[in-house]
Amino acid sequence: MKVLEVFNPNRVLLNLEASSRDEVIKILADLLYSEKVITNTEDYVESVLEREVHSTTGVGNGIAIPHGKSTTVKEPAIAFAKLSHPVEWASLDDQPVNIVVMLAIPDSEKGTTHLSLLSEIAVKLMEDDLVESLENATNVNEVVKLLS
Amino acid sequence: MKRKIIAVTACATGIAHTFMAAQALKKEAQKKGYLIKVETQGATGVENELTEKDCQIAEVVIFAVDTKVRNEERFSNKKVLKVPVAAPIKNAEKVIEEALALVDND
Repeated sequence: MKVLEVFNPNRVLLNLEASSRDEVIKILADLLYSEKVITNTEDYVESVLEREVHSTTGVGNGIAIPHGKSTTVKEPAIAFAKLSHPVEWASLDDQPVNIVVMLAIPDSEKGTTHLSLLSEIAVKLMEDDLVESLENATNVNEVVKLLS
Repeated sequence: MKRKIIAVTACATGIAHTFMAAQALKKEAQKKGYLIKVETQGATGVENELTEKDCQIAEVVIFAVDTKVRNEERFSNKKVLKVPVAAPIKNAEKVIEEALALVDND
């Protein structure tokens, strides 16, 4: 199960209480820091916010895939949050977001297999059935299984 | 005759949008019964590369890109619709119809 190399139940937050996009990003960054994926939360958050300035990562259907590429990222990884209340994300379909899949991408080119895993997970989020299952998921293992 | 479309997708980071845009185009083309081949120019390199033959057969080319297209000269004699990488993720149907309109209105 290769996905477990970038994603695991410790990196899933359900019923997250957050009032804004930036708060969600900060909370997930703290999570990646505690998981030892990133070594500096501030630098990572800055790279994620820079990416949002370039163009929104709210891809529609209530999903956002914020991502930061930074030297502070030690290995490709994913953190997942399902929010109690949707937040504004300037999404492509103008709808607020309640499922956030945050990607951490190292600055170097190493670990291309793991990078491909991140891409595969992003593509899965295009499937309406999967999104619906994620909406209904009530435990962290279920979420990991759905994205594997 | 089935409509024949080729596309290149690419985004700044080359991890997420590149592949989501490709998926959106393929899904929509399949729904419409069109033939499509999408080359992704991502962080891990070029995948599903468009060959000379692909370029010959295709009626129209879609660039869904936020970066420069690698080896753009392959498409020099083709009609190209260029849109941001987010466009097909937002509305793939619109992008494909606009591309086909380029050749249909000729």
